[in-house]
Amino acid sequence: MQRIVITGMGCVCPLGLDVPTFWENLIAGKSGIAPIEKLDTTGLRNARGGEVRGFNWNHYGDEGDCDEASQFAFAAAHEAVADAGLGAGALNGAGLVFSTNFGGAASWEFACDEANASGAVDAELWQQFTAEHAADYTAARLEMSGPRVTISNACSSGGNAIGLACDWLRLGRCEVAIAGGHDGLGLSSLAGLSILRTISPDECRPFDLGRNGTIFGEGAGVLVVETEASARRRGAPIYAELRGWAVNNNAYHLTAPDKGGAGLQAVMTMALRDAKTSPDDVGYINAHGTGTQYNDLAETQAIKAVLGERAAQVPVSSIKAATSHTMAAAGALEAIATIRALNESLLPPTINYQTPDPECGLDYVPNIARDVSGADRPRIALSNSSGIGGNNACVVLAAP
Amino acid sequence: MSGIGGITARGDLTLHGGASSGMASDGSDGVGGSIESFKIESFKLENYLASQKTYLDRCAALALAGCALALGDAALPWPPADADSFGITLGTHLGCVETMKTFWDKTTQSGVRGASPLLFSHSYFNTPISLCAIEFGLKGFHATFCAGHDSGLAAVRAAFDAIRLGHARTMLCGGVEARTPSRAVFEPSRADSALGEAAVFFVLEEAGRATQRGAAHVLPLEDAIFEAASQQNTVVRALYGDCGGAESALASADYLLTREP
Repeated sequence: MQRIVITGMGCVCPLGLDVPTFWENLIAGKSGIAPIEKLDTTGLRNARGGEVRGFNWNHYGDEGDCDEASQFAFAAAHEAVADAGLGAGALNGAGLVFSTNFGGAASWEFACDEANASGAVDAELWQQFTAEHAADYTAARLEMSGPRVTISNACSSGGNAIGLACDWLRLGRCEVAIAGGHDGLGLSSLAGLSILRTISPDECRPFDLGRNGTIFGEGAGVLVVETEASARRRGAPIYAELRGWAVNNNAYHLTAPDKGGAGLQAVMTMALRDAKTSPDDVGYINAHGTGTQYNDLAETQAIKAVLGERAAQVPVSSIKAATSHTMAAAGALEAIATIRALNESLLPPTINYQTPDPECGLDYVPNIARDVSGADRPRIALSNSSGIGGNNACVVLAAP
Repeated sequence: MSGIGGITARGDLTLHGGASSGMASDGSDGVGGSIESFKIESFKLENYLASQKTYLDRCAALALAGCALALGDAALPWPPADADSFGITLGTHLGCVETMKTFWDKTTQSGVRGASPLLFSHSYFNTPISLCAIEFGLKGFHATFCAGHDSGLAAVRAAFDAIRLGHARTMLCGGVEARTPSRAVFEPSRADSALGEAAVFFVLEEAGRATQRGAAHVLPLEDAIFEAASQQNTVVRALYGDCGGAESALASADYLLTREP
């Protein structure tokens, strides 16, 4: 089976409107979480969130209406494609796998208001809500004629999209694909996530003893996934090898977590098997690490089960206290952070980590980015994602 | 392919035949003829599944029924012994849009603190597939696909790929869309395509595994089938109405069940 590589990356998120800015702020230990300004936060468990700030859609040359989530997705794709050196016409036949939890959340709310007021909804507004809108819009703008689909697997969607693109390349369905996730903050989603009590009333503190929930946000992350043969033929930069992946489901409960972490353990094991990689070779894990009581403990238990005695020596970090939990974008943003970590030999920190939880007890790279450029430089890394409904995804990445 | 479970306005579809639990809205046995409405008027989940549910969106209920019918058609018990290698993929255009709308309307009326956690958790695009995974104990490959009318076929193709690439040994896959009041407002019927609804699922498994367990009437599946099935959408729409994300899965079933051997 031919090797699959990553040749381009793009993002729009609370930490930055492009990958260099995102990475610089992430490594500096900054957080993009701040008071939410775009909507009325009355009644939410937390009035703060990960809002994208300073984004200018006019920069992308479309004067028509386009839902903000689709704008984020297109902007991230635009950066990723340019980063990969794919010019006009180069995406003919390329695949596109996007993912979202809520589609165009803002358009959804407008559409509901319109339906309630008049009993009918403008067809164009409605299209902007649909899950596939960002993919359709991006494919049209970038003149992509290859296979196209949108995945909605809750907050594991981003990792799942990257993996599906990998499979398309393995099967020869295309030689290049762009893949990632996107979501916009809307009151319709925040209200539900708040009432489910997944939102922290104060800070997101992954793996900390005092963790009490996550903080949600918005954005998009997109990667260019390509066969190594295609990348080498056109002299493209190779940031990482996408060795393998897996997706599964806890088959346990719609909202309650699988407390023992069996699903996450299984998905990491399956991903390593797909990548033909031993757990002994894993040098870094970018965790789902939401900062909720149950996720972080379950993920820690799963990592311990997969890595065995080595678990305590393998650094594990969560970037969600910095980026916020950007829903379907999270898996793609975290894959980008993982790739940059492998490229720079610099691990992003788990910020807001103050008090170790004795039940967790892994090396969570607390608060300060870590230089790992010495002999122990990680060559293989995992990026984990999980989501409501019991979904899990794991992507195995290797330094080029 | 070792099993089909289709819940449609014209009755149930299976690979191995058997009693029709569905009923066309004209009161006939649902086989053939024209029907005025493409709604599955007499649908009752308990006709397909014994377990009781507190709350279900119609889309999720149809998906559960379609999956139960497909698993029964393939003579596969649930939960499966090899749960980690038994996956599910599902295509839908709008998923649980009725519950999404109800959740949002209630939230705007009562404020955020009055929002319903039950409705919210049942409002995701991936709620139907997650409920199916839980109900049937499917812990393997898992994804919901949204690609308009092609959603169901995208799910079937992904399941086929998952087996070919070793992600799974057995897959339940298909599409679902419900005809609900909200869908009728957001995507009103056009003169050429009245809204319909359906859940159509297939059981795919490694040929060797199917043979080993003595599965009856196995249809081989190859890439060409997807191409052929995708040409059937117009025919299917005339018979079943606009079944949204289930349409291409329904077209696949129609093609597989009616083609020359």
